[in-house]
Amino acid sequence: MRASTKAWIVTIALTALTAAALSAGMNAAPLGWLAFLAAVTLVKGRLILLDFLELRATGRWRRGIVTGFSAAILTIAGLLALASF
Amino acid sequence: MSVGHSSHAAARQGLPGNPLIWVLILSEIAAFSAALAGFAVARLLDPATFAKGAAALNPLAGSANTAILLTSGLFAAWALDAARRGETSATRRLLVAAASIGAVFVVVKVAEYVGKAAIGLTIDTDAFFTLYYLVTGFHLAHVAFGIAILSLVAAFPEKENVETGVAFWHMIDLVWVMVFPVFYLLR
Repeated sequence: MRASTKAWIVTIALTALTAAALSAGMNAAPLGWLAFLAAVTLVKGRLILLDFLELRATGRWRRGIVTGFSAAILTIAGLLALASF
Repeated sequence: MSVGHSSHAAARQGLPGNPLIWVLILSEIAAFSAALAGFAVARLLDPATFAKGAAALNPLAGSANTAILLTSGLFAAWALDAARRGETSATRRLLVAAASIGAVFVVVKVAEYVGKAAIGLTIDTDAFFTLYYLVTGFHLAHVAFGIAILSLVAAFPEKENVETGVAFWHMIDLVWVMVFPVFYLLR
């Protein structure tokens, strides 16, 4: 199976899982829900970068871009978390 | 069938496509990250308004649009594989499929806007909806532009054109993956 197809399966499954978790009321604990959403976004974004945008084999480009993307997500999540205190 | 994409990616150390598209991709990620950070600060200042605004959005529509963009991205990735194998007609068909699925995203998003406007939730309702319309509208403009790019590349499916157009399309995917939970899923 191609890497892009595997990435699609995982990202679609995570999208469905997130919708199901929201329906099940997992958002009742705001900080836990935010941490879950940030983790899912990091996994989905990483898969898009590595297997759709084909950064998996690009060495330092991969490290730099994935690190920058992760830093952006964690910064946004941190700012959103401040509203919970 | 799995040879094209994987072996090509494994053999490369540089970025795929024209380097300038990566300047654009990184700029777009930075711009949307700044917009979402701004949203987070505004939410911190007025949590009640933002909770009410988020509750008015339909997470299922957002989830459906996420699945639509990811599926469109898969067709675009397959188009790039076909272009690398020199299969011009398959490349064209897959690019047209990716663009067509992308058009479904536009339909769903416009239907959402019309539905919200019909119940009085417009860009000047409150800070949440101002940011909602600005950020998702800016993203929607990228989707529309991306559909035009994919269509143009389908007409001229040389390998570098396909790599560059498909990279732009995946960037739109990536940005939506960031935008979607912030607006639709936070409560």
